[in-house]
Amino acid sequence: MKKSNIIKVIILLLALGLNVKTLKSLHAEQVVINADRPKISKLPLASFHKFWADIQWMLMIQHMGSIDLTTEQNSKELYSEANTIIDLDPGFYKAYEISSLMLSAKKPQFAINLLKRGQASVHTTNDWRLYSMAGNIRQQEIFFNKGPDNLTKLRESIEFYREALNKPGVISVLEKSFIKSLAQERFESKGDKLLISELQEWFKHLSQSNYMNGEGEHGNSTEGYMSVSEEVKSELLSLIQKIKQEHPNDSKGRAISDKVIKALFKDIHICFRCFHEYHKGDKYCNECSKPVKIFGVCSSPDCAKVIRGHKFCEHCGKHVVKPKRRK
Amino acid sequence: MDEIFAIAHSLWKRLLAAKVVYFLTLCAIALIGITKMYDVLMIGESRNLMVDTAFMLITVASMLTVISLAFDIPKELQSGIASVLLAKPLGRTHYLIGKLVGISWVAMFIATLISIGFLIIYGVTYGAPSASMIKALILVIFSIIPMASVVLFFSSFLNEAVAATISTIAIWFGYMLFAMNGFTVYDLSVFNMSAEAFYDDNITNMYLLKAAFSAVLTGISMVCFTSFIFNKRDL
Repeated sequence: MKKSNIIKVIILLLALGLNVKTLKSLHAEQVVINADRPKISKLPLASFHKFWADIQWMLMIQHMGSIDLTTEQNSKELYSEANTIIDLDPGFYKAYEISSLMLSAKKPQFAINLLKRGQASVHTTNDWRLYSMAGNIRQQEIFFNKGPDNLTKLRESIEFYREALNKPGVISVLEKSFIKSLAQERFESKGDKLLISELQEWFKHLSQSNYMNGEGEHGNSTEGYMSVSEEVKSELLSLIQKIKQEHPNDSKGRAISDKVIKALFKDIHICFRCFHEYHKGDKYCNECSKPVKIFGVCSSPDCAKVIRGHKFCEHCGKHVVKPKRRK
Repeated sequence: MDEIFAIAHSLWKRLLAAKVVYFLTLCAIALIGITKMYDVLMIGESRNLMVDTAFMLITVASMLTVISLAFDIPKELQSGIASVLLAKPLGRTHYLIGKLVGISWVAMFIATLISIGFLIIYGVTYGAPSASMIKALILVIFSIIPMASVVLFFSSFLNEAVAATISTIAIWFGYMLFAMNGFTVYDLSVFNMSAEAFYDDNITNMYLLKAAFSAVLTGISMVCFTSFIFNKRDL
């Protein structure tokens, strides 16, 4: 054998050996860079899987556009098309979103399966919308089909909402759906009153989030006092009012209402009969016409006008007596 | 070394003198730009389509360019040009390396032109491209070396049409051999990071370096292997 050939054989073997080692290391690194890579379909499409997913997506949109009414048959077809797209590109968010919306009416389990695939994909796992949509689909199913497995579905929807609330960028309105589902679950499993359960769950949820976040995601918290957004406050107040109207003699309802008022409405004045807010100088509640405890007026019986200041009355100049803090 | 560059340069000059190359490059860039118009049809996912089309076209353009070698070498061998060249004090291995370097330069030049066009269109439409996007494009350009070496191998002993067909199949399956059976001697899938570019995954510099190293190693091993066959041929 010629010397040059021996050198070539050595170079060939060395290059092959090194290349195998480098390729193995690159394959390992690929999975670190993109954990979805092993999930990609093994279809012989060279490097064009993602491009093919786009083509399939356009075809699926055409198909969806041609459907007047979703049926069992076309739902199955759409499900198969959506799965093909996701196999080619597991991070395709719109494929999860649009196809699960299309399938939710006739085949909710198909929609949930797709959304679960999205939740498992590294590029969409932190998207709260996929969890929220799954929760909503389960809720819709419970609403339209009263079945024996409703409690299981309800619990599943609670878990979806819980997951969604732990994701970044989640909208606060989802808290409402989560709490309502929790209350519904208590109503279905233990027979608790729905409104009271809802208020109890709100209180539990807010206590946990304030405790867990230190100062609380809803604002500052001080000892025994929770700070929440205005929307949540008005939601809670409306719940308290409903409990008062529908379950006026329920001790549990009264107890949780008092607890919530103490924790959340320390700085605002509420009529204890109808739980509506009243303002400085009001003598009667403008909702239920019952007398309320007057505040924010000059302590002098001759003046008794509504005051703005904290030290002296701007009408008579007398020293303002600070009212005792309400318990 | 001078002989290698002379052969490479001659191939470069010959291929890039053809005006059709620039026309097709412009067509590829125009196609990438047109994808923006598919925004409604894609329900707002035209960015997806633009990135995927760009990566697809750059890969196809590179593939087609390197496959032109499958016509070049057998033609030179048949017409006797290669025999004249090899009669000079020029080793057959040098001839092969020259061809590989030349075709790689041409394909890299065309791929870079389309990549620049794509980056400009993307930048104007969706804002500055991410570092991952640029790195993924560089990886596609690296993939030209192993692609060209495969074509070099088949064109050293097959006639034009057969060499071109088999080379295309070999390149096509080069992206899937690892996924299909864990084959790790020849693998082009390591150069395909278009999904990672779109989702802005962190393609590390080390990955880029290793991929470049692998491309060169594939080139070297294929040239060595091809030279055994080519040296045995009676020209």
